[in-house]
Amino acid sequence: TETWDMATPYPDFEFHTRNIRQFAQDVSDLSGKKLEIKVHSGQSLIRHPEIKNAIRGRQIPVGEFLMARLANEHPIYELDALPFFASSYSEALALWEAQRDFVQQHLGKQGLRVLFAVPWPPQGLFTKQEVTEVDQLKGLRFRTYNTVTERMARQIGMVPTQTEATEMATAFITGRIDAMMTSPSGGAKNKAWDWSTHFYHVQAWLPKNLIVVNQRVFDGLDKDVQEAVMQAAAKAEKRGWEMSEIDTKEGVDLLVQGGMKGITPSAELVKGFKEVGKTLTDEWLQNAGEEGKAVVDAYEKKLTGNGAQ
Amino acid sequence: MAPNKPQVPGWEGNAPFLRRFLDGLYLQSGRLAAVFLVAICLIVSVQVLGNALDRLLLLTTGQQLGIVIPGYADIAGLFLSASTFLALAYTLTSGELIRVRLLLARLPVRWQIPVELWCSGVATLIMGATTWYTLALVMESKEYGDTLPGMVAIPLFIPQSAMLIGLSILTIAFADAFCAVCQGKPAHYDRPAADKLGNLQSN
Amino acid sequence: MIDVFLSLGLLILLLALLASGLWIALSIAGVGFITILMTSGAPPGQVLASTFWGASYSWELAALPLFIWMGEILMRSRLSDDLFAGLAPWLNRVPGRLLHINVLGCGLFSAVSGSSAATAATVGKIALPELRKRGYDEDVAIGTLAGAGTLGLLIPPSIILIVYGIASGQSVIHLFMAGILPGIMVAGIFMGYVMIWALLNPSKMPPREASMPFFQKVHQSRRLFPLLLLIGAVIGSIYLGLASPTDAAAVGVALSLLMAYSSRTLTWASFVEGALAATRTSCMIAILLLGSAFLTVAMGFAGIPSDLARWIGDMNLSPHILILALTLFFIVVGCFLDGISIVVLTTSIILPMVEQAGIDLIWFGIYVVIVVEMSSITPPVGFNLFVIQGLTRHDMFRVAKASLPFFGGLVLAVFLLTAFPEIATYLPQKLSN
Ligand code: NA
Ligand code: NA
Repeated sequence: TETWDMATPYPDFEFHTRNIRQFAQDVSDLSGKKLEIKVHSGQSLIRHPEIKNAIRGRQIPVGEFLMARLANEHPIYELDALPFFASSYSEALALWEAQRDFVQQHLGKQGLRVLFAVPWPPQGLFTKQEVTEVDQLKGLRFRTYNTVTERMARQIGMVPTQTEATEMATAFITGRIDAMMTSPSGGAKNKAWDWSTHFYHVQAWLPKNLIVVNQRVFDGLDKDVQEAVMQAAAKAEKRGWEMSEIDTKEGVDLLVQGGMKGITPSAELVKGFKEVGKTLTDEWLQNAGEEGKAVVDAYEKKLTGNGAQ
Repeated sequence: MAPNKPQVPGWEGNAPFLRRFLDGLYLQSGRLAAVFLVAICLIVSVQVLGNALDRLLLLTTGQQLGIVIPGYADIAGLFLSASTFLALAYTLTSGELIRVRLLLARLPVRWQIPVELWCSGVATLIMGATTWYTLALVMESKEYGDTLPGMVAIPLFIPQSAMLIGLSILTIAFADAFCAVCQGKPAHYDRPAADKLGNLQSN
Repeated sequence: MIDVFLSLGLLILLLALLASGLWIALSIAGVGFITILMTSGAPPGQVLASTFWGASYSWELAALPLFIWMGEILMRSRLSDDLFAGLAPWLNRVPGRLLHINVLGCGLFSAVSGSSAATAATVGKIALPELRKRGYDEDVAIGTLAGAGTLGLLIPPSIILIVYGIASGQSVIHLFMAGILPGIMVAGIFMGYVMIWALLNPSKMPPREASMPFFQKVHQSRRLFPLLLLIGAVIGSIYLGLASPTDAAAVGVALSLLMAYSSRTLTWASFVEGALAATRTSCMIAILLLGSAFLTVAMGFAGIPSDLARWIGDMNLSPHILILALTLFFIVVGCFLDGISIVVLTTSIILPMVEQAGIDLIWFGIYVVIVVEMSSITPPVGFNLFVIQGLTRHDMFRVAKASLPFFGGLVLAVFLLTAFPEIATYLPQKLSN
């Protein structure tokens, strides 16, 4: 029996981690216990920023990380964090289908093999006031944490305020920020009704977690074990997307129960956001060159193709 | 004390060039580390001042500028890393890297040199290995073009080089101590810090 | 199952390396290296380098050197002298007198600092020299400091409560609220101990200062004003939303420099000296943090703490016995790992059993903070001990001995918290309603 240590960034109650524990169980079952995966959740083995490179350097054979963290390495990784570009589960799926080969190609250069990807619930808007159109966001202090959220804030006329994820709730209470975007369940977990009043399920973007294995370690497995891993990965991807949708629904329900107002955004607000998204996408395309255009084309083809079915 | 004759304990009269060079290296890297510490304070203070100014503008004019130093938190973190590693040798030679002296102090005199050799020798080995693996880390980051996530796309090998330099100087400092103990001289970390500082400044 | 011989072997190795006089950070890292070599296929050298790198640049850590620098500036200015002169007349009739300054200072400073080591280092830098100058008992002075430093984690903001909140999915705001009353309780226990000690050992107390009339006391207190203003401004910068808790440390340094300058105690030489001293102290602590981070990774690979926790879980204990068993577990593991590492390494096994036993997770968060606070004053790996050894040059084991009564105080706090869970749950429940 071979044992793999697997590092993941998120705590045990998150559906991502539950999905990965099931994946580890599936690998064990499908391989006839020839490969066991020991899951170290919540950054308990390797901290999030170091996970990708730890897999590359074979400190650990397999791990999970947020794909958009690699945005500075290549624009292709940033697509699923681009606001209002692919903003529903069907669009997100089409994007992943279009994106997957490109992502694999780039990570392949680092000796990494993509096993599967699972999206976070779509990001919603949390504020302390009613918002019916984008212009009402002008002048609000908005939580930013990467280049694209910063650009979005500027585009709308909000004041970008860099805030760590750990400080979200306290920053809201002390007034350091007045608006931010996160998943419905993320807001519910932090009891958003304690520090904000309105939630708009605008589905801004669905960032994905990538589960990646070191190619050389993978190649060292017996053929049947390799097959078991790929089979378990395919199952985990399918299951993960379903769990993500359920998590979205549960999160929104909890926010409603908690007394949050808003929920369904006005058509005007959605239209305004889509315009902002269009500008950001055009900017992105200028940065991403030929390859970026190829991915976006593939995505649009998938979208119309899926729609025709 | 004659101003032109630096007194290094264990050396009669003028310390040789290498001795003065190494002591200077430790002190200067320590000063550079302090500069990074000051820089952390500066960059964060400017951002907070910006926040305060924005708040004031909002209260008076209803408008804000949105003053933001992009990635100031990331940059402060990198400065912290540089400060920590560059200060290592300086902190060691000032006698401030802590160790348990409970048994050491009770040892008979003839045992003290072998024990000190063991400590500085093992430390040289450990830090030497750490430096070696850090070199590998830096080369890997460079080869793959790793960058920092977040708002500033700094290539990782740049801040990691500060780590490499700091660890290298620390390794040299431990080796230096080992050689000194071999020659029956006191290791630099056992020299009183104030005395040493005074000497260097009188140079 | 737990490899008892391996664990014991590693423990003996660590103690032997420490006793031989090898630098503490290197001893810890060395044991981590050997742990990985013996228990895992991972390459220890690469893990070492990338862990050192990864742990060295975190933003939350940036507050530590800044607060230490703030302490250096205040110590070199007249402000620390003012603090003592201003408080002395008021505490003159309280048993223990100025010994309470460590507890009061740490309690107040905890409202700014989220870490235990930064609290102990900053307050210690200011208070210890003054206490020594006035002839107070050294052991009680360092013991109170080591003990009261732990308040930094309990009174919000608190790094460890944030980490626990993420791991358990509990609201950080509720956890922060829950920490306030227990924080005051722990401070009260510590002050109570100091009073009892002072009453039992009158010979070890310095002679009482002449008492002064009330109005003179008030007049004397004007010297407290600049320092109170400073602390108020730093706390205010957080609560007015101008600064995050880490930003606030820089605000503290900037304002301290300003005050030292305006009181004409800041010279270029004292500025440089202060910055260099802060650089050294924070480097000393940071390298220990790096070594400890590496040992934590090694323990993750070896699975020793999680196996031990699983073993407790398999016993299916009733809630109160479970808490007792976990307390012993946290104390043992806390000897070798720092508080945050313990939470990160063990929550995924402990939280399910705690939930199953029907224990409230907010309450458990506060409980965990108090028990892992103990880890910062237990040798051989205890960060408050390291900080105070760095400040005073007294050996870590002497500091540990001096902190023992305060370790007892924390045990008492856990007992009270278990007997009266409302101490933690009252405020957050109030918030919910
Ligand atoms: Na605190
Ligand atoms: Na400890």
